[in-house]
Amino acid sequence: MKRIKAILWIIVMFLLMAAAYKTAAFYLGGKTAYHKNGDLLRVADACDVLFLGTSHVTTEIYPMELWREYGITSYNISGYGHPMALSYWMMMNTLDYADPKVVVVDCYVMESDAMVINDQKFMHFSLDSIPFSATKVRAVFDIFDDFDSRAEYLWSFSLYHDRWDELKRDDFEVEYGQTRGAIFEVGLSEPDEFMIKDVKAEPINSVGVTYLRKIIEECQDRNIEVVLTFLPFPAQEDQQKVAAYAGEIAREYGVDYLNFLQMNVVDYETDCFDSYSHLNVAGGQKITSFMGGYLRDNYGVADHRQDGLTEWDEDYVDYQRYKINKIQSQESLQNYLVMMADESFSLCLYVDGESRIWEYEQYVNQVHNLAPEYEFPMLEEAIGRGEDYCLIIDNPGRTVTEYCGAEGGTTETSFAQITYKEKEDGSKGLYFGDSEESFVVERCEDDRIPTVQVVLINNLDGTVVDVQRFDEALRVNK
Amino acid sequence: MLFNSLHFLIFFPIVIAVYYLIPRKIRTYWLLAASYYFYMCWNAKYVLLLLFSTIVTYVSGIMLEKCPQEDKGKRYRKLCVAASFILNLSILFVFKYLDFGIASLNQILSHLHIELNAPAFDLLLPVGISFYTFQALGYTVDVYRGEIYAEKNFFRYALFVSFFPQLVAGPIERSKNLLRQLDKPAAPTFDRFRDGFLLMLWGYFLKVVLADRIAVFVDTAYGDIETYTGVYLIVATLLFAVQIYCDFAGYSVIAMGAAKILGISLMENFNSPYLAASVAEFWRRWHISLSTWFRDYLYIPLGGNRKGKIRKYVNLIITFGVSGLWHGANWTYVIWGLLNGAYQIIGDILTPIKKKMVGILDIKEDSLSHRCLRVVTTFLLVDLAWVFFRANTVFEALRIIKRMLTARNHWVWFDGSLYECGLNEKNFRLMVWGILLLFVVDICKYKGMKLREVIARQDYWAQCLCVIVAILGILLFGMWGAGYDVANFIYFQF
Repeated sequence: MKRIKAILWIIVMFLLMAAAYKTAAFYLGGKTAYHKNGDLLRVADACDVLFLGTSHVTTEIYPMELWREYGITSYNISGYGHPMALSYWMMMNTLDYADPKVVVVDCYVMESDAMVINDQKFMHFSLDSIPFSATKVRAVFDIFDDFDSRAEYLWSFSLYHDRWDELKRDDFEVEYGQTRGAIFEVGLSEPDEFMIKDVKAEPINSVGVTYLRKIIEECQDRNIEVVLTFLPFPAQEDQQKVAAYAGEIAREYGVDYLNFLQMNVVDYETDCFDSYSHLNVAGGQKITSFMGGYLRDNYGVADHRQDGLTEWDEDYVDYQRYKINKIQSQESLQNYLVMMADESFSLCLYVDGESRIWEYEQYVNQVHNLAPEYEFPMLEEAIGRGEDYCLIIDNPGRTVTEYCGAEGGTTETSFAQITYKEKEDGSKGLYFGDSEESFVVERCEDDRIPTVQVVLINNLDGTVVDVQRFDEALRVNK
Repeated sequence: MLFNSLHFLIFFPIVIAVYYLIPRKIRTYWLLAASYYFYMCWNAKYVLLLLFSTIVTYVSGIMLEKCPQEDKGKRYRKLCVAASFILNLSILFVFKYLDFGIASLNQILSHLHIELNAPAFDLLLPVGISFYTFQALGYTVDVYRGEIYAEKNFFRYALFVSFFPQLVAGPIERSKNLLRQLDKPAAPTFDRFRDGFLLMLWGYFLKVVLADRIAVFVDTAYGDIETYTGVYLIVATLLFAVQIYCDFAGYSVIAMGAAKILGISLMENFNSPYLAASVAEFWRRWHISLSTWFRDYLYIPLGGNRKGKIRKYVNLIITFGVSGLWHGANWTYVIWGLLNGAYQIIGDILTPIKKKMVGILDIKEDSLSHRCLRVVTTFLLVDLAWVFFRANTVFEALRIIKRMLTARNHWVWFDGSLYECGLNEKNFRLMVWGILLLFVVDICKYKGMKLREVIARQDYWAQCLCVIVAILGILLFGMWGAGYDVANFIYFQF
C-alpha cells in the first residue's frame, strides 16, 4: 500500500511539475516568434497560399492586404536570412497543419550553401513558434549537426530559462502578430547604383538549390502549385545571374517564375527601405497587390470574403488597428508618406505655400507614389507658383482631388463631403460634412506654423484615425 | 560528460533503467561499460591510461596476496607496492607535471644564466587522473597492509577504479568501502531513490545556481584587476571561497546522489567546512576523502605526530606541499598548500599564548561569540590562501592581494557599482539569497540535522512540493543551457 501511495504521489508530482514547467516555459519563452508566426497554426488550415523565402518576402508580402484586396487566405512563413533549407522545413512543418493550393518561393540566397543563419536569434525567430512534432525533430536534426544546437532548438527553454530577470508585462499578456507573418519596414533610402542587364543563367550547385528542388518536388508530390519569384531590389550582376538561373529551374520543373528584377512593379526611388536589399512598405504594397492579382488570375485562388470566414474579417480589423498604431508612431513626414502609400486608407494632405518641402524631389516623388497612375497637375502648379496645395485621395474608388492656391471647393468622397475653403482670417480650412471645425489649422498650439498637415481616414469605417502636423524640419509637431 | 550537461541528464536515466532491468549478475558489466563510456565521452584515447592504472594495481593486488608475509616475501611485497606506485605516479608525472618540471628547470637555469630552453610536451591533462590514480594506489596499500583481500574479479575491480559518479572528481573512495558495495549493492528502495534524488538536486543547486553564478562575478573581477580593485577584489575573493566550495561540494553531492540511486553509498566529502574554528578543523571538513587519503597514506607513514614536534611540523609541510602539488602543476598550488600547512604549524606554536590570552582577557572559550570569532578568523585565513589557488601565477596572487588592500573605493559597497561586475542587481541578490540558504543548511548539518531526513519525514504532498520547487528553481535560476557555456567543475583539472 505504501508503495502504491508513493507511486501515486510521484505521478501527481510529475503532473504538477509539467504544469508548472509549461507555464514557466511560456512566460519565459522568447516572444518574437509568437509575434511573427504565433497564429500560424490557428489559421493554417484555411490558407490557400504560403509564402517562403528570406526577409525580402517577410517585408514585402502582406497576407492581410491580399485578404482585403482579393479575399486570398495566405500566410507568410518566410524569415530574416532564411537559408533554403530552413524555408523547406518551415514549409514541411506548416504542411502538417495546412493544405495550401499554391506555395510561392522566393529564390534569393538559393546560391548559398548555408544551412543556418549566422545570427541564431533569427533561427529561433522562425523555429520557436513551431510546436514539438516529428517533423520539427527531423528539421532540427537535418539543419543542425551538433547535439547542443539540436537540444537548443527542440527545447528552447534551455535558451530562455534565465530570462526571469527581464520579464515584462508583455511576457504575460502575449499578443500574437496581426500581420500573418509579414513585417513592415518603414523608411526610405536612395538605392545603390545598379543596372538590370540581360544576363545569362549559370548553373549553380549549392545546398540552397538542392533544397529549392526539394521544395518544388515535395509540392508537386502533394499536388500543390509552385510559383518561384525573385523579388525586386537594387540587384548587382551576380544576383541577376542567380535570378536568371532560378528561371532555368522553373522551366525544368514546369512551374511559373516571376523575376521582379525584370519587371516594373516598384519604383526604387520611393520604395527602397535600404540602399541594397529591402523594399519599404510602399514597395511591399505594390508587390503584394501584384501577387494577389497574379495568383487570382493564373491559379484561380479563391476569393473567400463572402465565405463566412469571420475570423479573417475580425483579424483584419486588428491588422488595420496595428497599421494605424504604426502610422501614428512615425515621426517624420518621409516615413509617414511611406506608410500612407496604402489603399486601405484615404487621406487629405495640405502643404503650406511657404513650405520648402518641394525643394526636395523625394517628397514630390512620394506624393506621386500615393497614386502612381495619377498625373497630379495641380501639384506641378503649386510647386511652380509656390502656393498652398491640398490633395484628397479617396482610396476605395481611388478618386484624387487637388486644390492649388486660393482655389477651394467641395468634393464628395466615400467617407464624407469635404470642403476646402479659405477662412475669414485668410488661412485655409478643411471641413468634413457639416462640421464647423477645420482639420487644417493655421497655427499649432506652440504658435508655430505647420508646414504639412495630414488627415488620415480608415476606409473600413470612414473615420478619421489620425491628424498629423509636421514642422519646418518635416518632423511631427507634438 | 559533465553532470550539468544535457548529455548526462539523458545518460544517467538510461543507466539506471537498464541497471535495474537486467539480471543482478551482469549489472557490474553494465556499470563498467557505462563508466568507460562516461570517460570516453571526454577523450576516448585516454581511457587507455585508466585501463593501464587499473591493470597495474589489479596485478599488484593479486601478487601482494600471493607473496608470503615472512622475510623474503616482505621484500617482494614492498617491491610490488613500489612498482605499482612508480608506474602509476610516472604516468601522473608525465601527463601532469612534466611540463611544469621543465618550465621550472628552465626558469632556475635561466636565473643561473644557463640557457637550456628544454621544450614543453604540451600533453593534454587526462581528466580525473589524480583522482583515479590515488584511489587505485590506495587499494594497493590497503592490500599490502592486509586491510582488505585482493579483488579477484577484474571487472569488479575495474569498476572500482572507474565508477562513473566519482571517476573524474571524487570522492576518492577507499577500497574497503566501495569494493564491498560493488559486490553487493544495496537493494533499490523508494527511500534510497528519494535520498539520492534529493542529494543530486542539492548538488545541482550548488553547482548551477550558486557556483556558476558566483563565477561570473569572480571571473569578471579577477579578469581585470586594474579596473576592479579594492572592494571588488575583496568581494570577489570572499565569493571565490564560496564558489569553490559550491563547485566541488556540488560535484561530490551529485556523485553521492547518483551512486546512492545505483545502490552505492559514497563517503561524505564535505562537512560544513567554513564553520570550522581552526585551519586544522577546516581540513577535517574539506575534501575529506583526499585529506584522509594523505593522512592515511602519507602523513602517518611519514611518522605523523609520533616523532616529536619538529618532525610533526616537517611532516605537515610535506603533506600539505604534496597536497598543493596534487591540485595542480603550478607553484601557486604549492604555495597554497604550504600556506595551509604553515597556518597549522603557527596555530600549534601559538596555542599556549592563545590560552594565556584567553585566561588574561577572561574569554569564555565555549561562548558563541568566541566560536564565531574563530570561525571568521579561520575563514579569512583559508580565503587568503584561496587567492593563490585562484591566481595564474604567484606574482598575480601577490598583486591581487596588494590591490585588494591598498585601493580605496569603499563607495562601491553602497552605490550599486557591485552590480556592474558581471552580475546585474537581480542576479546578485539571488546569489546572496542562495549563499544564505547554503549557510543555513550548513549550520543544520553542523548541528547534526540532515534536511533530507526532515523532508523525508513530511507528508508526500510536502515532499512533492519540495521536489517541484527545487527542480523548477534549478531550471529557472541555474546557469545552464544555450545562452551559457556549460562550465567545467573546477576540480576536473586535478
